[in-house]
Amino acid sequence: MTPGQAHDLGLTPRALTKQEIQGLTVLGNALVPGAGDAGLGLYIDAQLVAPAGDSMLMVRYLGVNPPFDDFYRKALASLDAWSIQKFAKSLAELYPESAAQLVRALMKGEIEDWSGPPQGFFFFVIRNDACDVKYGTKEGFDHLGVPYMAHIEPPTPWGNP
Amino acid sequence: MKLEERADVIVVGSGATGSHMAARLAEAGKEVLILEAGPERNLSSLVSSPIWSRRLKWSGPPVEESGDHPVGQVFNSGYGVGGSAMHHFAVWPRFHENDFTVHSDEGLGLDWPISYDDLRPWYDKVQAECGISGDARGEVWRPAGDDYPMAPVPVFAQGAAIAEGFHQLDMQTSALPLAVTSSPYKGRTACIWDGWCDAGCPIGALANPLTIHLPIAIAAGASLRANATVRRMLVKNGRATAVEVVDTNDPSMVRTVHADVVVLAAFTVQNARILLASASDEHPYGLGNRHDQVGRYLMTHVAAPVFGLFEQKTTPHLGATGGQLLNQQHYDDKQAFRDQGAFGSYQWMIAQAMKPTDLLGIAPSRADLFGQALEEFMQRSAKHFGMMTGVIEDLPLVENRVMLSELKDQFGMPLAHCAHSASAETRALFDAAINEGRRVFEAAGAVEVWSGGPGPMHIMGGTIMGDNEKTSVTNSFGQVHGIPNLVICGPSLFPTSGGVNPTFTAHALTARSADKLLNAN
Repeated sequence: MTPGQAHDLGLTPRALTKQEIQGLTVLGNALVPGAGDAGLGLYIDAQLVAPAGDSMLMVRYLGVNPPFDDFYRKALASLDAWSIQKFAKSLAELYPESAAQLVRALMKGEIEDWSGPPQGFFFFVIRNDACDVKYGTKEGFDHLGVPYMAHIEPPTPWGNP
Repeated sequence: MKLEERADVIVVGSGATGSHMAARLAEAGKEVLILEAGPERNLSSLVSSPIWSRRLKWSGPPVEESGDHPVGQVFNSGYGVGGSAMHHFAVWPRFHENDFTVHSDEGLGLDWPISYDDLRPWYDKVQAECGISGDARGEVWRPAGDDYPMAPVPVFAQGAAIAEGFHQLDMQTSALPLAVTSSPYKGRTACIWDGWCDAGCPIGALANPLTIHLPIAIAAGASLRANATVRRMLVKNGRATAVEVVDTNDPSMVRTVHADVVVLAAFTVQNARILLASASDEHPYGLGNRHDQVGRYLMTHVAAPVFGLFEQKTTPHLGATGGQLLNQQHYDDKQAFRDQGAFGSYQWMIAQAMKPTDLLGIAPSRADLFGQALEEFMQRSAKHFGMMTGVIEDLPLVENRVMLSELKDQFGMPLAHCAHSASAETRALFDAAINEGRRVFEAAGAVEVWSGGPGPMHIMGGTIMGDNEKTSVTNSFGQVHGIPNLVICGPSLFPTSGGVNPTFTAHALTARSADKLLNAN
């Protein structure tokens, strides 16, 4: 479900703020073209309110124990603060060129005043989240020309948003 | 609320070895109760999705991890009916003769209390029951054993592309032995090689517990109870008498289930944790732990991934997640790379079916790319990608161990803490394998070649078998020293890891233990 579709249905974020969702949309599009528009923010929001056993986030098997809210929220807050300091705009308002610059800095661990998980690790996780949303669904397979060939189709791309 | 129950046999865990043991004992007329800590699962819940499939992974009480090569409990374990085997890739090679005599032969590692010849008939029985597709004669490194009951997995374009590299270097490849049906087998349908093994195979082609042993156990009268967490085992006068079970969803519901035999098959980390958490006046350091051996020699294979892009199309989405081909060229010489400081055996699992995402998918192989460069890489890789993975033997170290944490779960049971670091010899073997793998891809004509870092794969040890109670936890049948009716199953029994996937060997040991239990009674 895209942010636009969620808006049309009147869905609201449950674990994250609207500002954080929008920040994830900008960040997602910079990490993987189209991942933000495909619903990266809503994906993470939906997983954060799911019971731990039902979580589909990759971070669950990367040595981080649930709940994962702080993992994402602290990192987003650091990115937002750096964005304001560097570009005088919040993460949610960044132009694509600035967002790409921010991602490069994150990958290199150059975001100042960082709090949350190690920057390189957060980059790895959030990049893979973006890949999940863009390439890990049936639509994503189609985008890459990979036959999906499901035995049992997932009822939704990533659970119940 | 407290309740009392009774069964002939309690099996703790419904994974590969728990369900196998339950099937054998129920068939023999025993009243068997299987207790599974996680949720109910059935074949229809195995959704084909790299995202949804993460629900199969461990989500029980958190496990603390430390050391420079953590075992990766959540990634390498399952939770719920069927256990870890629900997401296993069904690569079923045998251990080799020299895996059982590592210390005697080499002065490093440990020995098993049994030889390959002791286990061979059980390998043969298990492969006949579960079905393996392969080419025994083509697998020139394979120890003696019956031919496989099914023809090998087909070789798709990715397999052919990588095999060319091995052949250019005068190295052989054979079919990868897979517990996956290449043709209809005992009422099971044939695999269609669509690469969804990791998401759990709902069509019965892959030998997982829901397809093979749980139906046998249930049909023979065994009871299976999900959401039943065993927090303590009770032992009196050297005999296991009962287990204390908590409803996973309602910790106020506690049952004591009495039994003649208790089988502990909760997978490596939880096996050790439950023994340690069952300390009593009679066993103040935990069960089987009079000599401080429970939890020790924790092992995990080191995964050595090599990647490449080929000019030709490789159809990387086709095949099985475990791969198409095998190479065990250096397996029988654990000193093959001693000049580089390495020790141990390894194998190559070649041409794994790839999905675009997830930890073992295409995207994470180039974690340095983002933006348009990543999109271009993904578009190209979807059609031209190749991969193989080395399975690197982990030298057993006494200091690598499962311990109890100071923290407790919601049932009042201490969490597990796993400390694991890789030895210098194991790390050097990883480096040697990666160097070889890259040479293979270059010889195959790959236009780009790269490799990944060491990752944990499979979890073994912690309740190892042996002849001496001062240096092991159980005898060769998995019976805990001093508590013969408490029987451990699974790869936690392995004194050494070998360089091959553990599930087939865990099954063979279970079949042997079941036979011992039935003959003793």
